[in-house]
Order: sequence, then structure tokens, then C-alpha cells
Amino acid sequence: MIYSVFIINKAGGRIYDEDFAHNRQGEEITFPTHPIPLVLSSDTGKVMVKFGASGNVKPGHSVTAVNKQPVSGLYTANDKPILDVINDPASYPLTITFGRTKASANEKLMLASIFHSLFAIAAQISPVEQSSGIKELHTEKFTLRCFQT
Amino acid sequence: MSKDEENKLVYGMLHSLKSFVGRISPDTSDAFQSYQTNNYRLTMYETPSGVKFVMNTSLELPLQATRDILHSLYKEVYVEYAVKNHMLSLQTPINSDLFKDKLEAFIHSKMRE
Repeated sequence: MIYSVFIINKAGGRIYDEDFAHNRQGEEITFPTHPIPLVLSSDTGKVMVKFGASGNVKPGHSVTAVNKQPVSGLYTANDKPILDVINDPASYPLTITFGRTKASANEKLMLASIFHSLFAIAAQISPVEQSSGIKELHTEKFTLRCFQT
Repeated sequence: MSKDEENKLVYGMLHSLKSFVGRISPDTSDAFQSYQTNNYRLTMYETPSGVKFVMNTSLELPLQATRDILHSLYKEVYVEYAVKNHMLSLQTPINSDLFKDKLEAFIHSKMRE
């Protein structure tokens, strides 16, 4: 199954990218009382789970809706800071929807140039003379393949 | 390039690889395992305590075999001769002839298979 495709030019800039992964359905959890068993952080511009787990929600998931209303950035649909709502015992019971948000256009640019550098360094640190860059990269959950023209 | 520079480059590369994988993965919790070029494969095995074992091999050796070797290396050499050695501080480069000999013997035995 193909999750995404990136095309990177000679200078390391992203020319094209396409995201085919559609399983970003959220997990909706209703918390009866404060506090919730998750540590949230807001340093990436979204409210993300940093530590803890509840149901299928793990670190890496972000808050996509509060009480079934989609959020925008760090604020709920009613323009209240999400973290304030979550930390206020009076908001409970509270329904929060978690999901994996799509990478923003800026992030995709960064990922493309990061890969470009990794590709070049792999060729440099080769124990054998004259290596190409990265052709395949394996992780626990996916494989990345690269073709260089 | 010097050994020191090479080490820093490898370490920086691994750090970037880990965060790259974390962000680009379609799944939330994912970990980098290995990459290959046209003539070598770099495999990394990381323990829950944060110790990373990195090995460069030729492409003939299958991926799962290299991961198993690194796991055995951790279990049979690192834990036995580095962790259990109370004279060694694991925060500084390991300076033990015993560890070095056991490691070489282990690798040679694996190469003979």
C-alpha cells in the first residue's frame, strides 16, 4: 500500500508530493472527570499527545475536535484555548476527538530537504568506496524507496 | 575523515533519521530500523534504555538476520561484558580489552555462519 510520494529536485527542494494515506479517522473519547490520563503539549501549533495513552490514542495524535466541534490550531470552535478547556474541571464530562493530522505544506518541504541531506550523508559515511545515496529505508511500520535519476 | 568526525556524522545522521521517520510515518509510533544504498546496509538496534547499536554490512546479508545479530550482540556481549562490568562507566567510551575481544570473537563466529 502506497502512503505517500515525494519528488525532490537536485537542490533538495520538494517539487511534488502526494499523500494517499486516508486512515486518519479520529478516535473519540469522552472523559468523565478531570484530570485525563494524557500529557498534552502545544509547542507544534497543535495540541498533541506527548505522553500517556487512552484507548487507541497514543503520543503523536493531535486534538481534532472538542465536544464534536472541530478545532482550529490551539483554539476550540468557540475561540477558547483548548488547553484551558481541558484543564478546567468544570468542562467535564468532555468529549475529545484525537487523530493524526496531515503534514502541513511547510512540513512537507522540510521533510523533503531533510531526506535530501540524509541521502547525501549516507553516501559519504559509506564503509565501502563509492556508494550511492539511500535506496531503501526500513522502519517498523513502513518502507521508503528512493529512485535517483 | 577522522574517526571522531565520522562518529559525529553518524550520530547526527541517526538522530535526524529517527525524527524524520517519526514525522513521515503514517503510523503514530514508529522507529527507524535500517537503510541501504547500492553497496551497504546500515542497521540500528535501539534498546528501551536508549543504547543504540549500529552495524554496517554488505547487502548479501538479509535484513532480519542483521537485526537478530544486533539483538544477540546486545544480549551476549554488551550485557555480559559491558553492563555487568562494574569497572566500566557506560557514559564514556568503553575501554575494556575483554569487551573488545569478546566482541571480535562474536562477530567472527557470526561471519563463519
